[in-house]
Amino acid sequence: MSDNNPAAGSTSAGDPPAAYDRPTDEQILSFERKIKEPESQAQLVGPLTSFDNLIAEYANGNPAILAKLHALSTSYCGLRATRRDGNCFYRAIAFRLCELLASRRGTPWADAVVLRLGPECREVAKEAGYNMDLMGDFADCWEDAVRDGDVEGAMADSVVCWLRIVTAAVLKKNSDLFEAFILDSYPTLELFIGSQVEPMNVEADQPHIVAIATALGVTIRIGNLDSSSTAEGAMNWHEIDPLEPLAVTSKVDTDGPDPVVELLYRPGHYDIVYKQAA
Amino acid sequence: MQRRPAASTALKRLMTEYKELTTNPPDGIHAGPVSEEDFFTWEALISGPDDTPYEGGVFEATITFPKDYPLSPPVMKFTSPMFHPNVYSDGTVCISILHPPGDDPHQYEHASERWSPVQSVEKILLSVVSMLAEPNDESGANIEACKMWREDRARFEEIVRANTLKSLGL
Repeated sequence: MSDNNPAAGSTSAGDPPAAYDRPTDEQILSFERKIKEPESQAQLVGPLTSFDNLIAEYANGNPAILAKLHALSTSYCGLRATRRDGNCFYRAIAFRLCELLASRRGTPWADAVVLRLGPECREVAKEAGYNMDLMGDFADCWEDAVRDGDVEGAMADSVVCWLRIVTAAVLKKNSDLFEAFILDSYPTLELFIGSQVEPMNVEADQPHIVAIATALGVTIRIGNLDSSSTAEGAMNWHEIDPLEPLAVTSKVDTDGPDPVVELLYRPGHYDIVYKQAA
Repeated sequence: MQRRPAASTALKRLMTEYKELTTNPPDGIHAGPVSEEDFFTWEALISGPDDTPYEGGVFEATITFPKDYPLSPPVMKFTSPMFHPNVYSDGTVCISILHPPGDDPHQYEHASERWSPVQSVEKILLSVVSMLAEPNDESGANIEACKMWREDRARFEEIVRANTLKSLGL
């Protein structure tokens, strides 16, 4: 075992006082940071690239995954890789939604989403018991980014923080529904939220996806890049609609279908994918 | 494009928390910045909870906030003598609410309360009061205190009472 390994020499609380060689919290955490360093320098949201790198990555890997990537690349033009820091899901949604809203500015869809993700989200958070004197700054960061079409601003940790809070608020508001999925693994919904939603750097799972789609009023489509075999190697897509649909008024046919946020999922990670222009 | 630097978000948040703590102080807790010039270093005074060997004592601690507070948690360190299973011998407090999930030197319980931006100085201090009343010997920071708390409670309480008197300058 390497000398750097904090596990070496670790001891349990039951050992005699002579065993004082347990590394300090700080030593353990700095070791962890060192391991995670390459990832912590990756871009929060990278440039739009083709699927070539991903295809190369799986070239000698699972044939089912490779088939799905080839199928994906016929109708999608590429992806933006996100940093693997446990915030990728929230960051990907913030970035892509900010982009979509900027490209559809002034449409009934965009107006309805802006209403939902701004004042309505604040209201849901307040009703869920969040102290808006303490949380309002984070909401400001998100709303400012959306208003200015500022995708850089939408990548900020403070936006991730706010989206976690609105996700948690929707879970609380619909506790009857979500408890059915959560109580198998957690004693209470509160504990699930306090350990799996509110803290930064914790990955998102199915309940989070439904909750954030509801909070923002946006459909989220997730392509599952797993190793299961499918007919003609097609990707499995999961489409998650908001529990309460968006109230889009005066919709005109020329607007086309409402935009959706599309993500590519591999275990523990979400990247943003882009459809080819029709 | 205007973007607030993280430190100003942190400063604003700390000023809001300070204001709330002074208008609505929880029992037995006082906390605030050491000086007007430095809102990132606070001093806290915690009264030892009743029916514990800490009862009657007033314990001083410093709380140091990172520039990206509240995304990252502060560090709390007792400056009064503090003999407790969850306090390192240098005074640093080690409880789950001060650690985000993942920062897991003690492998806290899966579902214990963790640091997140919805926590606050007040919640930390209330957790510390609970910690004084109910040590958690599953995730010990001071091994000697842990062992003594479990195996020789009388001796443990004797040391704590002596510290309690010292905290009052007696």
